[in-house]
Amino acid sequence: MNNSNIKKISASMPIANINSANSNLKNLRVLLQQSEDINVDIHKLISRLRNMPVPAKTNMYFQRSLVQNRKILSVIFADCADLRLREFNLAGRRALLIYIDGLTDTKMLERTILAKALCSQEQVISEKKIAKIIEQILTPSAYTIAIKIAAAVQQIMMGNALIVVDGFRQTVVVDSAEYVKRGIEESKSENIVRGAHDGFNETLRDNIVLIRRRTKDTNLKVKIVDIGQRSQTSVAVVYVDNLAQSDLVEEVLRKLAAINIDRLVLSYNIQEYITPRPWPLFPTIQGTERPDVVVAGLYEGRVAIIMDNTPWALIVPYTYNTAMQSVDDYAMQVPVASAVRMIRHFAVLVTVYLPALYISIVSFNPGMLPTALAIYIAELRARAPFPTAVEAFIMVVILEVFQEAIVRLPNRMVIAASVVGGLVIGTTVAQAGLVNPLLVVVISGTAIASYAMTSYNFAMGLRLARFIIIIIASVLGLYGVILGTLVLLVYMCSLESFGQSFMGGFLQVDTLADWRDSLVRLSIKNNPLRPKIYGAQDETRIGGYRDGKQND
Amino acid sequence: MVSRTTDSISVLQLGVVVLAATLGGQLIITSRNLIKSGGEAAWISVIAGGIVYGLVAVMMIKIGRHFPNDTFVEYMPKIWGKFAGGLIILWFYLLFIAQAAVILQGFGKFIKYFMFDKTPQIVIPATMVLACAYCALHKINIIVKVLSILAVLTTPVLGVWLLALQNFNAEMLLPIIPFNWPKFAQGLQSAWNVFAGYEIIMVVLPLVSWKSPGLSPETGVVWTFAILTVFFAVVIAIIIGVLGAEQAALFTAPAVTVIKGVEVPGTFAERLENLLMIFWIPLVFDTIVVFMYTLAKVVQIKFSLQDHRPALVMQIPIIFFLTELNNHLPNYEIASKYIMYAGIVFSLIVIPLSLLMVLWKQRSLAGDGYEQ
Amino acid sequence: MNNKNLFWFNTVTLVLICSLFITGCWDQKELQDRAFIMTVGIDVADEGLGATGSPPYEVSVQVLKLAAGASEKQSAQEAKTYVLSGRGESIFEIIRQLYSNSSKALWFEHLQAIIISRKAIEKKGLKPVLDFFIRDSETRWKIKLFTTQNKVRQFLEYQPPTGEAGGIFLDELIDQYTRNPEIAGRLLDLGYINLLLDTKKEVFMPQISMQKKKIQITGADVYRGNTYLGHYDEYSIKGQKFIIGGVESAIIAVPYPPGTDTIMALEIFKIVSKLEPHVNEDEIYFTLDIFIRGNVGEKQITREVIDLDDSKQIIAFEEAINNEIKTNIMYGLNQSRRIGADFLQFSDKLRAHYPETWARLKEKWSNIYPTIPLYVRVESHVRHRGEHL
Repeated sequence: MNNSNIKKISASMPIANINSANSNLKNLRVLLQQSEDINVDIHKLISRLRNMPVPAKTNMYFQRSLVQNRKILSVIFADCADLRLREFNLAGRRALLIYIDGLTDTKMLERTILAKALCSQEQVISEKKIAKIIEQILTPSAYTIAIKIAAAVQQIMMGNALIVVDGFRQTVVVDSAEYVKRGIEESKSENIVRGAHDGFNETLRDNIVLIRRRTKDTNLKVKIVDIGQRSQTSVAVVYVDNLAQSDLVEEVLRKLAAINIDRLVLSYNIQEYITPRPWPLFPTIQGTERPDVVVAGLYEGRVAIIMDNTPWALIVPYTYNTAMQSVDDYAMQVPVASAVRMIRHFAVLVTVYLPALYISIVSFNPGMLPTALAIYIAELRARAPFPTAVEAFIMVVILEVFQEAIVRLPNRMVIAASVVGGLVIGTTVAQAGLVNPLLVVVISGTAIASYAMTSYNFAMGLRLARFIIIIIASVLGLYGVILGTLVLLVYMCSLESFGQSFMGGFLQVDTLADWRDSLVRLSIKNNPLRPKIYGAQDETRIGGYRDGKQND
Repeated sequence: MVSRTTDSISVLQLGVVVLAATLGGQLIITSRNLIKSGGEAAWISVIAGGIVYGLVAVMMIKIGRHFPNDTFVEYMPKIWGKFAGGLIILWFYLLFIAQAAVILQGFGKFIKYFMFDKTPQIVIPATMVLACAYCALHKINIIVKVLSILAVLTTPVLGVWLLALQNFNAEMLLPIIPFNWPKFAQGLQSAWNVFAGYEIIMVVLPLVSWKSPGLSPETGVVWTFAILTVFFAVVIAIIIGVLGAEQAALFTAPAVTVIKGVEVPGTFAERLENLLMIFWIPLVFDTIVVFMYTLAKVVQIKFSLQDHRPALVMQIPIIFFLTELNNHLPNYEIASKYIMYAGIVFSLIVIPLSLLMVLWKQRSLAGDGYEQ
Repeated sequence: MNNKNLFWFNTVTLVLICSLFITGCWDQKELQDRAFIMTVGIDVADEGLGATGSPPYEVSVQVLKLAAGASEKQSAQEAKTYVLSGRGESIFEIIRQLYSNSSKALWFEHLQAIIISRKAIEKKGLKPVLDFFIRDSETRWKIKLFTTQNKVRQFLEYQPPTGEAGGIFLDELIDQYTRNPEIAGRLLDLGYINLLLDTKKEVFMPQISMQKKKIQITGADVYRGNTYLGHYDEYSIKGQKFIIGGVESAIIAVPYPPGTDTIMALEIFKIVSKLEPHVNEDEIYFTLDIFIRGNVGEKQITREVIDLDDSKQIIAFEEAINNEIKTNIMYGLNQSRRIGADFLQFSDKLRAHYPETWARLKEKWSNIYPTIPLYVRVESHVRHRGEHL
């Protein structure tokens, strides 16, 4: 190679002036910054213009011209890659089919819209009304006419297809929503032995169907409201018209209308919005995945709230007594069911009180123990390094951590964790003498008891209450336990939602009639009344209601 | 709905409130005085007391019926004039606040003595007052809910006294004849202590919705008194039958001592008297709750406040101060004695006279078209 | 506004309660940090006089040794308890002084038995000795009381062959009264003796003695106030227990046929007795009806001599039992008359049923009592012959 051919570029260039370069760079940066700002501003402007989704209040109507309509829609749906637009000829006019990919049954659209329209190419109808065209040529099973853009856009977002025809202000919304969803499966959280095994899924329509299929009662009303400025989630309020008190239904609707949030993801979001207490220890609204529970609740005069996209239906009001009922109770021999009910009440006491009682008896009033047991415990604890309260507290915290870990772990790891937790911690902690074996028994008994609850949320509340009682017990002993119980009881009585305190009619003198389905359960034949506490308009279940003579 | 949050209670619930106010600290604290003054026939004094004070309670309702929406704070001035009426209200207020203080003091003493040797005694009434205040802050229908649950849960526990029947010797109750009238009269006097608290009827009555068919407040209260009387008489009879009247008077709390003698083999908790003390706590709790609520209500109505809660919060330190004032044993005994006299005069003189006044006024003014 | 009020109240309450936690745990004392006192022995010192002129108390307590952990097996020979003792004028004071010998606080809630020497009762009186235990809320009502003529400390140092703590041994020993009518036990715990003391009646306490290094219950001692009245032997206790009840099961062995020396025994499982006072003008007498049910418990005679298949034999056997019980009761009654103790509590019956008569006789009761006749009627029924004739 000949080196002489090579010329340095720098030779042809003026000597670089570092200062000017710097100032240029600075200018460039400023420009970039400004352009970015402008970009952001423009985007803000665009998004404000676009106002996605268009608020229902805006009165924007479609134009006659298809081109203009298409332009409007493409602005609204800008950057929505899953939007599908398909132009075709319909009765001699240009028409546009708009839908969202994946939300819509495209096969149905092909069959009832496109195929029909294309097969009738030669047919030219000079109708003034778009409905006539649809009726004569197309064959969708259900459609509606929309003239407001906002309404049409919302329908598209729900999975329906929109047909815009040139020359018409009216557009046609074809019911064609079909999307991926979970089938009707058994409820994951509420397992029962005997009884229906279908549970709610994430689709509001299916869920309402599950309820409707259980009763052919036209008094069962469904009101649907959309909540969330952005998400516009459908929420159904279900109630039995001539059972639920009308002020209860109104209160539910009013509280739902007052929800001011941009999106709803969980039905618990609704629950937190409509519960009056910001820090409730116990759930004041029942959550269930089971349609039979909902139907049973509706016929007690209660109101169900079902949200789209979640299998958890809410039922208001909710009381302790209801929390103690399980579907299985009603599919068991009456004496067995009553015994199980009592065991469950007992389990509540054990969950909350067992460790606290242990602490207060062992370290405050051991005189209450029989002498032999007192000596036994004293010998077990002879070399215990911690006071009972600390010991118990450590064990309860470990238990809670362990439970939380098990819940969060992938299924495959659970067995390993159980072995570590159960064998390693349970056995070796006792062997090492850090805690005494009796305490391990107490704590595991407590844990087992808390699993006997029908409501997960209620059990969690009890677990927190247990901590409070343990703390009080370690300061004031048995006196503290009782005092804590009294305060807790007052709290539970005052925890009101939808006009009903959480303790409800439990052991109340003026709702003694409810004893038939409270601490015990009587046969359904012997329990002719609905729970008095929910105040259903028609109190009798058996013999009260006839076709001809409804309580209006 | 049955229990929509309204500020009213049913007749049955009135019974529960009266039960809560009456069945509280009094029995354990005052059983000794009762047996000391009543002797072997103390239980007859209790029955007589139940009848007398039950009648007074019915009189209170009868007066209340003439002033359907008024508490006694409103109608006493109407009956007796502003000054005398005001005096009666003050009397009532002082009586109850002192009674609450005495119960709390006695309660603290016994709990400390039997269960918590080293805990400073002040802690027990202090925590109790706070817990009671928390409950009394709520509306009456929530308070009644709490009382009802407590009544159903704790009253059966009082059946432990029946266990003492294993040591019962009926001959200890003898001789009844010849009947010892002076002792009976003394016992009747002490019986006020056992029933003290039912006077809250005069404040709670306007809150009762009388619409519920069948059960009038009179019947409700009579039933409550019947239950209470039977219960108290049985317990007192058991105490005398087990310990003997003479010996029972030598114990500070014969009602507790009598449980000490009970032996139930194979039970988990051995010292039943401790168990009794534990279940006594809710009983004292509901008594104090009713007292505090009543007192706050009196202040609220007297000074036409919107709400009873400010009054309630204000009186926490007062009750607490009075409780501590009773700390010294002689003070405590003098206080209980004078409260008893004040209560007896209030029940047996002021109330019947008020009823007579009402009836007399009604009759004399009926011609003038006087409408109450 | 209302909710706000409530909120502030809650906050203040919470702060107050939290402040309790900071100061709290006054009564918290771990079980293993308490020294279980199983038995208390009260005696008076042999020599020296206290400030009051009487000899000082000598109080011993039997303290439970806690086996160190479940893993270490305690050998059977090793003692379960140890004894601390001290001297002084006040029992409470002595017990507090014993704290200087113990690393743990002495704790009386599981106290099982109190043993008091006869000497201590004579010098100090029973009521003063027991006062501390009655006044204190820690002690139970059901603590068993014993008296002894020996020195008390040896009973506390005794290690029962069963390996349990001495106090528990004593407690359970006396509970055998339901099966062995020779043990005085029913209604003789701390609480009841205190009730009897309150009415200034005679009390009797089971007596224990140490024979051949074994603890044995030997009848009962009777006291009135500070004075020792006398001693009931086992046979008279048996007689009295037929009247006051508390026997769940007892064996009565009688020579049968009467007059011979062969023995037949009745196993009693039910005794109903009724003691009634009668006042007729100036004459006072008591009647006692006893009804007994039982099975044939033992027969040391061959079937050839006595055939139980013959119901006449049964009736004759019942007659022999009746006589034996009558004799037994009269023996007991005579013994208490000799001592001057109204053990059957005739006075209580008279006070309850004939208050006027009682008021008249109250003053001279101790003179009248030994002369009051008692008419006994016994009826026994054999329910079962046993598995084999």
